[in-house]
Amino acid sequence: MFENTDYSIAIQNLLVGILAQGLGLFIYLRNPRILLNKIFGIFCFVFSVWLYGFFFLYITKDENHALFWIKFLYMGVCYSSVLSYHFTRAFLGIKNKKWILYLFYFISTIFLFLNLFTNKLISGFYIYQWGYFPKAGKYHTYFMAYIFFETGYTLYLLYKRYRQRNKLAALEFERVKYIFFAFAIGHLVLINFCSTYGMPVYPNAHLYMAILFVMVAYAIIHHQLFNIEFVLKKTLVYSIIISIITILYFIIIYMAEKVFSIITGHHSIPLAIATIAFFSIIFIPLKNKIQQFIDNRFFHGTIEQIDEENIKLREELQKTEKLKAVATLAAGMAHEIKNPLTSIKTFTEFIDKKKDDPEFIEKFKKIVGDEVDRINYIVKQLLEFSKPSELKLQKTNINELLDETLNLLYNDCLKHSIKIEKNYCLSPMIRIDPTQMKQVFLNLLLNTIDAMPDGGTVIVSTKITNNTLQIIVKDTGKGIDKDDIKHIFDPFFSKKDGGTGLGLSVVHGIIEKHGGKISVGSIVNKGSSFIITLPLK
Amino acid sequence: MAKQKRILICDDEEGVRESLNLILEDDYDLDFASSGKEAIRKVKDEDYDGVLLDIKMPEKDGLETLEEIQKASPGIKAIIITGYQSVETASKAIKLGAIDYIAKPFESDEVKEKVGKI
Repeated sequence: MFENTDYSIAIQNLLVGILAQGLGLFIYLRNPRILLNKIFGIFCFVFSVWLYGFFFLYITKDENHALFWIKFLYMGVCYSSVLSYHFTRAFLGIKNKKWILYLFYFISTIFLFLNLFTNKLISGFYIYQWGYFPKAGKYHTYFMAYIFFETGYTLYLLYKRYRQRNKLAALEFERVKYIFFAFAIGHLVLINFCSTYGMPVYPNAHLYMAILFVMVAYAIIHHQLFNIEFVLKKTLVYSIIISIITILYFIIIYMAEKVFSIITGHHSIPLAIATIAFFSIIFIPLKNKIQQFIDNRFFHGTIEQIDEENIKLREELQKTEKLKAVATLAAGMAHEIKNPLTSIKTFTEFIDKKKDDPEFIEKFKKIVGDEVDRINYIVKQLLEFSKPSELKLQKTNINELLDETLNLLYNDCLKHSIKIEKNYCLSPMIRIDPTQMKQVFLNLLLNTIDAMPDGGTVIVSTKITNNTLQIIVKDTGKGIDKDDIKHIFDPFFSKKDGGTGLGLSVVHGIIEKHGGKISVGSIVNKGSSFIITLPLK
Repeated sequence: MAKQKRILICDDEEGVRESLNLILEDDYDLDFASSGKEAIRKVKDEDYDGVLLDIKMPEKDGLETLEEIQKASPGIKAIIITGYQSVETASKAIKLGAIDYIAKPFESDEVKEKVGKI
């Protein structure tokens, strides 16, 4: 029996474990539909198992308990590097070579079995000044080689993306930079494994993991535009609540295992796992009640702030996307202005020469006058577009609005060898906000251009059906994966390099404000169709 | 007096047609079309030494019109008029047989110099 008097390293592990679990839970609950958030949640959970295991290992006085906690914490270690890799894949949007991911999970599971049911991975323990520590078994070196390879490959993928700075939008590059350095620093935790081979290296490299969790969480949050103070506050509350629940949880497991060992004289990993599974199942219905309790008890005063924040975020979202659309609009309008400027410039050049020609004077007055009015109208349109987004309904001809938008994108279509086909019905006048609806068309058409970098066809149609007006934008581009279609209107969901993932979310918002609906159908490598349905009023 | 060269000016904008008329009327025999279809029909029916074509026109744009004009009257010299100063557009036009392009808003001297190549 070993009597450890230095608990500092144990407390460090506990605190980093609580931080990991708190951050992981916060990110996951923020939007569980996003794959990245899900994987980050699991990633943090696995590392917290590792860290909590070390906490109990360092405070235990009993050899049998020490072995138990070593096998427990190695459950987290077995899956830590594959989850790092999985997270990186999700973060970088890597869809191919899934077999590598499945292979890594398979290998990790093999090591898990070796850990739980044999002494080939861990053969026992060392006793150092800070407490018990795992002792490498026969296959531990292979396990280390596997972890180092996986970690190296993960860092290579991140570094590769980091080097593509020129191809990334500024914000995207910042996120990649954060994640790359976070992982490079965080994986220094592997230094701790020296002690499994009898080298008494003080195992505080887990502190690097704390840096990893904070930096990764910040990279995710920063992109999702959350107020960092709100995040930290909620993380702290979650961390405290989690620590209370976790301590209770482990006490129950510990007691169950203790009772079993008193009755049978043995320690049982399967019993511990069964206890964990049982309480996890009980926890599922309690999860929402706990979430509600936290929000009501600790964030009741801020619920209104959250609502306000959400409205502000939506407006920010729409403004950001509108600015992008304004840039495109400005480019299109700059061309539109060149025609009237051409006439005004040439006619004024000839004033001296032709001032006594009455026919010239008549033409001058008409043409120059008309062209100045035209420039004024174009500038007015641009100003209208950049104003705040309250709906200004007016009777509008949708076909004409579509034509105006297509005109603006004429050069982009020409540049990318994209043919435009129009198939309009006799469109009635419909009450919409033409400026906002133009933003919708602009966003959809810009997406179709992006989907066809090597050329193709865009078919824009309108039709009346069941007292609604349908506008269909169809392309022959690369299409959308069926796993992605359900998220296509989610904010910040983007498959484009440098895409913000805001455009279609804004489109969805504007259509909803008009009392309409938007849907999408797609076949990969064949093309996509966006269908807007507006009520006829 | 040397016979004036016959130039067809094709642009859907009345102001641009009138502007080119002002610049070129003293030196050339000018005809006008307000669409790609009208330009193709005229080139098939009559003889022109050269054609000035706007890129962006409704229904049939300048590049499509140029392609058909070249078939109807091989060797006809064409100059593209454009508000889009992009390398891609210029190179597409050159590949289709244009001898030069003029960017809007244009300078009178530039127009005279480039049309002088016809």
